[in-house]
Amino acid sequence: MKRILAFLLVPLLSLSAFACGTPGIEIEQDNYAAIIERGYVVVGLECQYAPFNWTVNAADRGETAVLIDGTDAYCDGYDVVVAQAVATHLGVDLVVKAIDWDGLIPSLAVNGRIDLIIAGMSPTPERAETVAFSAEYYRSTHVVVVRADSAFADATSILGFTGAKVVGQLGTIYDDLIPQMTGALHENPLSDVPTIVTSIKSGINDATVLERPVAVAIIAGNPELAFIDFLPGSGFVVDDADAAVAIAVRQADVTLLAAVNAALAAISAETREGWMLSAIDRQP
Amino acid sequence: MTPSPLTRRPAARRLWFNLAAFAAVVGILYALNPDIGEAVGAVSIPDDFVGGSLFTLWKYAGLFLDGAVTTVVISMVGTVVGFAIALLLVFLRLQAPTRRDARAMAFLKIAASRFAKGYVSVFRGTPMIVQAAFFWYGLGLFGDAFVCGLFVVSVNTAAYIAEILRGGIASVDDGQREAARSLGMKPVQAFFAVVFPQAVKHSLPSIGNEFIINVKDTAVLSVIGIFELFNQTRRIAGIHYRQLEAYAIVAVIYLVLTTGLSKLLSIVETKFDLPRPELPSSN
Repeated sequence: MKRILAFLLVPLLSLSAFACGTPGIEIEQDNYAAIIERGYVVVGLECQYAPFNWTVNAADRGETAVLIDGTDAYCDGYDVVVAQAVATHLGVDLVVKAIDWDGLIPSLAVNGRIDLIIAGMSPTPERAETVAFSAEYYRSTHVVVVRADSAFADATSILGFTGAKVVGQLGTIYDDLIPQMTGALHENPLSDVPTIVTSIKSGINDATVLERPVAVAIIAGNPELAFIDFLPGSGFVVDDADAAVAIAVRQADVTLLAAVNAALAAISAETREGWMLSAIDRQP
Repeated sequence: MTPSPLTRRPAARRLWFNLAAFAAVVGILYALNPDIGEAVGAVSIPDDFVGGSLFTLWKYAGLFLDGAVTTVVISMVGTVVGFAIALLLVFLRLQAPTRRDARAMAFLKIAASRFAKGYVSVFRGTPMIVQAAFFWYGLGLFGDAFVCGLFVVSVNTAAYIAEILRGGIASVDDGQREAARSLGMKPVQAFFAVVFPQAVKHSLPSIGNEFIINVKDTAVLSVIGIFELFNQTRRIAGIHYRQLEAYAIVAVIYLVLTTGLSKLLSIVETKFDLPRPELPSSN
């Protein structure tokens, strides 16, 4: 009988070892006081979207890099500098979590595992149905990345891509802009920018749409690629909301949103541009 | 059984062969990029594939190692806990009412067996990537992705191991049970003292295979943000927007892990005189 009991207890005990950890905080209420009292704010980003955010080794990290929660690696970039400024303004520590693009909004609005998304995200009306957005913290122009030796490298207008296979990142403004390139073939979107870069290098696709700073970072590590700036009138027509990037908070977090906006208002346009330039410079 | 000495390559010749193969690989790499020292010490990533790969491996070795350790730990713990859950499952699965059982007991036994059967169908019949996303994003029961990942691998592996164990029990000759009964053992004693130990022993190689399969399959846990080997590699690829190099390196790391672990398992199996299966395919 003892043996039967042991036979049953082993699996039961191991099951109970899974007794759940602590889930995120309440998503339906204003958590400002709770976050301040807790002493840290949790920011979600991809850590694979240079120069907004990227991963670095512990050994190579600069002063601006922050440890990625749950790993020994660090995250650096423009977003991290902004996140640090926001955390400092709130008077709390900064905790950074690396989350895939698709998982960012669910992690904020559904699970409450993060408090802010600072990930180069544009405040589109669709996203604003689920989360609330701060004022913009960067604004950029959109460019097209191609192989330097491709026939499309000489294009001067977004209409010069007839027959080109153009791919964007799933669920982003980049993918939404591709239909403006009349005559181009709109390929199925891919999950992240590194994968898109690989698909262009290998010839599966011919071009992609990206923000200028990201394109600069890509060209630094991939000299066989080039990006095309367009003159006003021959580039993309972008909504105000789409050209900007903003910080996302839960809709119930009204006080936190006001505090984030106050923190952003304290950063001048020159400071921002300086942060972006030095992020591009730091990017390995 | 010792194979004939004539069919076996002497150990020394094998060693030389391995060394020559290694030298050939290094030679090819050197021919493609003679500036190995320069590549690993470069400030920014070299443009060519070999240089870029060596740079990536050298510079981000620590990140790759972190990922590899996480992968092996999740696979190992998942297999062990999965085995424990599988013991419970197979116990439930083998319940069958007899004529002497009261009606309630018979009902319970049927329910237990059906439950185990359903569990195996559900967890073997759905992809682990769906299970992971369901438990992490869908139910949101867990506060920590790592714990959620361990849970998913464990409950998934349990379904496979339960079927392995059931097969193992069925493969023990009925004569064993009959002999135990004729020695005066009760049915329960006969099962636990005679049939079950043999079943587990014969199932061990397949359970070891589940471990190796888990080393590869835990790559899907990157969807819930666990920094196992594949997810770590995706971040490394994102640093310089160079995937080819990072993925080539991680392929070699996975290959070293799976062949190394199956070598280790085969040593254990030889020691315990167990049947040796080939390197397993994925489930």
